[in-house]
Parts: sequence; structure tokens; C-alpha cells
Amino acid sequence: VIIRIDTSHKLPIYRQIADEIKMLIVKGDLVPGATLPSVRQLATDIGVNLNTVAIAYRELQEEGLITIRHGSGAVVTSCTSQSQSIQDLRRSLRVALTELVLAGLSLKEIKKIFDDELQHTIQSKEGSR
Amino acid sequence: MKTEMVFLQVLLGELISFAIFMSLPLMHTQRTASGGSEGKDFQETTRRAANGYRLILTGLFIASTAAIYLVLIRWQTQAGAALISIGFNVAALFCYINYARQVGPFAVPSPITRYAVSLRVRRLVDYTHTWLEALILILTIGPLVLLMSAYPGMPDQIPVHFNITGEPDGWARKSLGSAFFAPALSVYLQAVFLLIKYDMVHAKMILPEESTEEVLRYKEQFLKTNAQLFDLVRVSCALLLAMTALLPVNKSLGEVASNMLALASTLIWIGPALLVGGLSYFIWRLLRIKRDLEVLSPGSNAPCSVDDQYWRQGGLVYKNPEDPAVMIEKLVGLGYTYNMASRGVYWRLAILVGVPLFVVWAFSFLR
Repeated sequence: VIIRIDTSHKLPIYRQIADEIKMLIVKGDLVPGATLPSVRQLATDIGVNLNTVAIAYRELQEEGLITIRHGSGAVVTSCTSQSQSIQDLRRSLRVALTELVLAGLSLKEIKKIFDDELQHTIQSKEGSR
Repeated sequence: MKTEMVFLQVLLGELISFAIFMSLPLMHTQRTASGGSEGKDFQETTRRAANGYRLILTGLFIASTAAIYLVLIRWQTQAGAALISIGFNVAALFCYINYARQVGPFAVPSPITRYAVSLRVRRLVDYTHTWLEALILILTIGPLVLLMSAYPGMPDQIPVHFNITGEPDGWARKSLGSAFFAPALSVYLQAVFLLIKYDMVHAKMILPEESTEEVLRYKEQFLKTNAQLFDLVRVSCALLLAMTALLPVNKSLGEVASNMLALASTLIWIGPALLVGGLSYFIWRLLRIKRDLEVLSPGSNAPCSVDDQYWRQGGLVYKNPEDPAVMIEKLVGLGYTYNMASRGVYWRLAILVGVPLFVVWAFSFLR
């Protein structure tokens, strides 16, 4: 179970950590009951401030994906997040699509990217079951 | 006879440091070569600097050994010999730092911004063998308990130093300090060792973006082998100090225990032999793992090139206040080293110095 971090990327590190863990949950590499390293351990390995990892964990906990245990890391508790409403989810999709359009891609190219990504995500979810 | 034995011991120590210092550039140039610059200038300068360093080191070694021989055999002063031995190590260290400064500017650091991290939880328990811990506990606490029960019946003069065959050759007046020094030292050292092992297990583990899985496997193996090597040191230390602690009381322990101890003291040389053999085996394995890692992903066996600038003293000391890591893989050499600028190290050092001071202070009231 490995996550990848890019410190030169414009996305903040806590965002990258949270996203990577979410992807692992969707892929089925992290199932409910799986333990995550403690905040200190992960911060040590990545080489970032303890707060950075704590923020990522707290966000995942707020979404109901993990439960933070004091002193001994965290446990994955669910494969489905709870906090985001349909409107919020639609909005994030709209933002992503806007970026694609602004990048100058044609409708066909955008559709292809969308289908590929959807296929990839769903396949890994199906494959894990 | 006795002075010759001392000379041989000191010579062995000198030889070991000499071998370590000779091999340092080997590990350091590998690192700088993989750091980027591989031009002709770099190769030439590195080679010349390394040759110069080795030449000076050999000269230092010969000179200091000759001086030690003179001081020990002619003038019979052991303290002088020890001082010269320490002086040799310090001088060699300065030579190495000087060498690293010459080579350093040629290494082009390649800052890695994309890397991977394993989410596997590392716990001390996973690197612990129950029977081994039980053995260490018995060897550490056992002598303390035995000595407590035997203390009132001990004679006024107790042996405190023993020669290689277990015969006493140093005596002291009976006191809590002289009787309990060895077992107390044993308990203290075991506690320190356990803390270091805990830090080792939780040391920073950074993985490259490519061939992540394989590198992870090797790095975990590296950690495991290091933990095993450390366990060997812990057991040997506990065994040696248990023997030292019990030798003064073997007369007052009764027939059976006394005989067992006599037997053990004749076998005492097996301990060092096992230790040397075991250490060689583990070091050989660590070297192999490092070599395989270097083949698998060049440069990845350096812990993290991101932190290149924080390695001081030719890559021997790591000082990075921004890094939350308390322990980190060594840049030069095998194993792990402390991040000397982390806050965790300060309280560790405080305990390391504070506890013995406190014990000595507390015992001074008991007399």
C-alpha cells in the first residue's frame, strides 16, 4: 500500500495525502479495518510537518472514511463517504470540466478522457470485489 | 605479558577504526557519483583526493601505532596509549571531513520532488522476538536480584575487574557503588538500547517513484537486518555485564551456581567470538542489500536527496530542524543515525546524561 507525493505540485501536500488515501480505498487496497500509520510516522516518512498529515486525516475522518485512534494511527472504517452533497460533487466535476475546456481540448477529447478515467476508477472498484 | 595483551587489544581497536576510515570514501564517492556529475574533472579530483586521504590515513595509522607501542612497552603508561588512540581517531575524522569538502562541490544534488511512501504500519513488536527479550530481561534483572540477596554476606574487599580467564585482578572496598555498578549499567544500557531500537523501527523510510515495491521490500529487509544486528549487540552486552556482575559473588552463591559460573567464565571467550562472527554476517548482509538497492534504483539508497544540504561533516552528521524525523538512514555507512537538530534528540540526550547523574546523586545519600 503505497502513496505518491509530489512536493513541487501546486496542490498542497495534505490534499495529496487525502486524495491518495481515498484512491486506495476506492481501489480496494485499503478495506475497512485496515490500519493507517500514526500521524507522526507518516509525517516522518514524507518529511512534512505533523499538522499537514493531521489535517489530511481529520478531513478523511469528517467524511466518515477513517477513525483516528489516539497515539496509534487510524483505521479505515468505511468505503463510502458521507459529508458531500450531490450539489458539491456536481460542482467539483464542473470545475474539473471547466479546466479541460479552458485547456483548449475539443468535446471529443474531453469525452474520451472522461470515459477513460471513469472506466479506470470503476474497474478497479469492481475488480476489488 | 600483561602489557603485550593490552597492546594487542589497542592494536585491534586501531585496526578496526583504520579499516572503517579507509572504506568511508568508497561509500561517499558512490553517493556523489550518483548525485549527477560524472564528468572527467569530477572523477579525476575525487580519485586524487581519495588517494591523498588514504595516504595520510596510512601515515597516521603507522605513526600512532608506533607511538602506542613505545608508550606501552617502553614507558608502561596505559593512559598515554589510550590518549594516542583517541587522537588517531580524531585526526582521521578531520582528514575525512577535509576530503569530503574537497569532493563535495563536485556533487550535483538532484532534488527529488516526486517520491512514494508506504502506508504499512511499523511497530516495535514486529521486530521483536519474545524469547530473546525474555533472555535479555533475565540476564539484566537476574544479577540485580541475586546481588541484592548476596550483598549483606559479601566480604569487605570485592573484586571489580577480571582478566581474560575470569581471575580477579582489581579490588575495591565493598559499597553499593562498587557492587552494583555492573548490573546498574546493564539495566541502563538495555533501556537506552531499547529506545534506540524503537527509533530505528520508526526511522524515516522514503521510496523512489519507480520500482517502488521492490525498493520497499529491500528497505524493509534492511531495517529487519539492522534490528537483528542490534539484538545481537543487546544480548551480548547483557550477557557480558551479567557475568561481570556475578563474578564477585560466585563464592557466596552456593555450590551449584558457583560451579555453573566457573564453567561460564571458562567459556567467556565464546561470547566475543559469537559476537564477531554474528556482526560480520549481518554487516555482509547489509552490504549485499545496499548493493542490490544501488543496482535496482541508483541513488535511492541515499535516504533522501531532498535533504542533501543538511548532511554535515562529509555526510556523517544530519542536522535538519525542518525534518520531523528523529532517525534517518545513514548517508555514509550502514544503518541509521539521529537527526541532530530534531527536538526529540534533545530530550533523549537529556535522559542519557540525566539518569546516571541522578542515580549517582541519589546513591551518595545512601552511604
